[in-house]
Amino acid sequence: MDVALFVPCYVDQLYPRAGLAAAEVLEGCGCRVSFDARQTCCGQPMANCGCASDAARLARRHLDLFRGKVTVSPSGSCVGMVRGHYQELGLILDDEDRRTIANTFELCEFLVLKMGVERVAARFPHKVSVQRSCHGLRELGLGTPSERTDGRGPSPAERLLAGVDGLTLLVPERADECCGFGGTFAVTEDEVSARMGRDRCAAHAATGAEFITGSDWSCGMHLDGIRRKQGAGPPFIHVAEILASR
Amino acid sequence: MSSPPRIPAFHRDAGRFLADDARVGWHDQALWHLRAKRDKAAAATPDWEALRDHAAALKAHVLDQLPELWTRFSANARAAGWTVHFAADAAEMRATVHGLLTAAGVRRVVKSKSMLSEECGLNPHLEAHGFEVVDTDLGERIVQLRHEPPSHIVVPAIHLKRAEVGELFHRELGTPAGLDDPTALAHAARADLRRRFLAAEAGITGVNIAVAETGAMVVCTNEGNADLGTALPPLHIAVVGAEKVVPTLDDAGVLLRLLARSATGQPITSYTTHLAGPDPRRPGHACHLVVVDNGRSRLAADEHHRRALSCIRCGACLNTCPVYRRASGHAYGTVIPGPIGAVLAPAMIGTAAARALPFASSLCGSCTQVCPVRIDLHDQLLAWRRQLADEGLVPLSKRLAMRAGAWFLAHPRLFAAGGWLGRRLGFLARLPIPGPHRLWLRHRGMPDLPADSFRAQWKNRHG
Amino acid sequence: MDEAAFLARFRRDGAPAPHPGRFAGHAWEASWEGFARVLAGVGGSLADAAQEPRAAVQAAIDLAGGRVVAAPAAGERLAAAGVSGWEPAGNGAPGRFADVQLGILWAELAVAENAALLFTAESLPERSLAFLAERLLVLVPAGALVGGMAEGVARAPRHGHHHTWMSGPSKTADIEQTLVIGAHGAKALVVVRW
Ligand code: SF4
Repeated sequence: MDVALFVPCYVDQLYPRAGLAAAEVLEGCGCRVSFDARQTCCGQPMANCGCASDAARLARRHLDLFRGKVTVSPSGSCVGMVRGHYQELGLILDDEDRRTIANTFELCEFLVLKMGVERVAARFPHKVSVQRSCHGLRELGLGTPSERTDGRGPSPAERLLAGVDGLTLLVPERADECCGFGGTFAVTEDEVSARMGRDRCAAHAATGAEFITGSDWSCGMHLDGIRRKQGAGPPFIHVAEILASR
Repeated sequence: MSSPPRIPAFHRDAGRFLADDARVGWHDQALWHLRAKRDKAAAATPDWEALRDHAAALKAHVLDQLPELWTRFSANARAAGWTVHFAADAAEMRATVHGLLTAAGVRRVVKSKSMLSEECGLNPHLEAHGFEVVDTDLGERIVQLRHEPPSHIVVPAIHLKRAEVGELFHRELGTPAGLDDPTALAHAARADLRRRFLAAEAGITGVNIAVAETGAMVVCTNEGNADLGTALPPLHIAVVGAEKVVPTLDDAGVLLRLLARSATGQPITSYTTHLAGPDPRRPGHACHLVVVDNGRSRLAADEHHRRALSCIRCGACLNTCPVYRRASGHAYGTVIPGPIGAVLAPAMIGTAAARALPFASSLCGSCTQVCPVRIDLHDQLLAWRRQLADEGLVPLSKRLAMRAGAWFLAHPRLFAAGGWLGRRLGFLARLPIPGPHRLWLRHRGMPDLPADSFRAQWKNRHG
Repeated sequence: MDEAAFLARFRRDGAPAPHPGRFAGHAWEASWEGFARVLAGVGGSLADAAQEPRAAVQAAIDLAGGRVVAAPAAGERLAAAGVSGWEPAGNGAPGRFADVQLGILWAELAVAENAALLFTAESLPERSLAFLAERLLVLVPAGALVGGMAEGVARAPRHGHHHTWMSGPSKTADIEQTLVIGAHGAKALVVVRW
């Protein structure tokens, strides 16, 4: 299958390994992966600040670039923006736009639910604690939020992680509490955000994990930053990087 | 007179609470405990999600039918002997209650929990006019004695530790110094309040549900204070928000099955009482019901936000909110804190005054998932952010940053070059130059910056 | 404010969202074991069915250590069964029960789902007894158990001055989330199948 890779702007600049790993995993599963270097940002930071017209400018660009393609991204949050919020920005969307939106997937979601992949050949002999990032979980409905009683089972990411050779999957206390990143919230309400992050880091560390993983480097950037400040705790590694490990 | 409404200063007040690390941890845990109990109760209710769907549909119907439902309610309520009053705003509500108390020659009033009376500033108003108004819910009594507002809509004194309550009761109720056992303290309050119940000349209560079919009001408590406050004094005044009516008793039953489970994990509150006007067995018993608008009709006409009026005030969205649990209710500076408070505030006190609150959220969406009437709380917050930006109420610095960011990101070459430079000059972030990055780096270390971006590496590989 | 003007503020054009109808949810089992489990969870207790109800009530009265008052519907049964040591609620000011140690009530219905007991203006004409008594003994006909609250509400009266659902004794967790039984109303609640 032909897949257009959508690498979120901050992953592109700060965590390129996650993008490369995502491409590698997709290719390993038989996809032909393309990357259009005109892409930048989905517009989420602007949308979350309420600046709809600024977000719309980037959303329009994004939809035009990915028009008619099957798009896959190593970020539940940015995919959540495209699938869940592009219709709120006052854009005029035609049928093809709507198809493009519907054909945008988070990496593991795409592998498991669209391609029917059950296992990827990966080896990662470590104890790993998962951060169930909010947007993938509660907006895209990947996995079962702890608030709900109608279980949809584990998320695609956790299903793939469970099949990785040597990996021990751990879930922290309060299985899916928010890490506290929240975009500009992390700086406008820095005290609350940081406290949430410290609590989350402590919960992950208490599992005895060697790594924290998740489908979003945005949560990772925050949690890993807290770890660096504290000088202790498990580092963050993106799910794609684990799935690409041999 | 009632004090002027405060302008919420979330950042400042949250910071104040967050300064006490241990208290934050404890507060967070106490509320999480409620959330965990709610999860258990929901899991033990096989039709839980269907019940939520049904309640959401019921509330949507109600919001479209308020005039019809209140017309039906008041006809039945009058037949039952209620005197029904309608108050346009807080001032009219205060004046109505005040007038009724004065006409009856009442001085001593017992009150059970009513967020509406907090919203309307009823207590301070009555106290300023010489009435003795005693809050009888234990948590409300505690905050009343401390002269502070509730910090939670179900557990009003959740921000306090037992030792603080012990000190307060030692001072106010004469309990032994150092006594901090919750049972002993609660029983001391019980003894004090029992006297006041027996001496009260009027009882004021809130209303959980008004039932159009029967003309009755439903009031729910665990303590039994609303029951004592209505069974003993000869005058009962109930105050009810205009959104609280339902068509039938069966409809009320649906909400009752959700309310306590969502609030505290109980299958139903200890006491759920339906009252239809004065008791025919009690000579001279008088009952008044005041239906209050105070901004609700404005909200009901707002297509984007009217769903917030479905709220049944269970408090579940507060308990689950990771921001509320760490900032505490007082940080919101509004009568109702937490996610629903932040959604209601711009409609109730105005967008300018409430502009900080829709941003006091990481938008994790837990509130939306937990809400028994399926209010899309986090999307509501996002919708308010858009409206605030449209009204020019988002700080200029933020708006300019977003405008500049969008422009920058619309130019991929510029973006790539900027990133390249940024990764090389990233170490400069450690210098004490003011800017948002300082707030980031106050709490978080710098990441290791890669030499090359994804796009550069991809190009190297694929040409 | 005038009612019509008040209601006009909430008037809307267009067809209203439809009423969702009656909720047909889970069919809860009408089992006393289930009722007892939920009741224990909310701080009350169900007397053992093996114990003869008359004897159980008499023992509770003998141990009451103070005034025992029965609501009319309960009193009728106690009198018929020859139980002694209690007084009828009678008439007077609602505060006259302030020193009652044990209140004996008659519930018309019990609900397994949430351990709620139904009291109406018929069975409990004087509400204050239920909230002023230190402890409560509630008699329920053994056949008056329903499974779910929806069914319970369907059977609740549409007329009459009041009705109350009571689930366990009075309680609060307002101090540090620590459960305290007996915030204002009864400090204990025992249910006897009659
Ligand atoms: S918004 Fe929903 S969860 Fe929050 S208090 Fe209201 S009903 Fe409960």
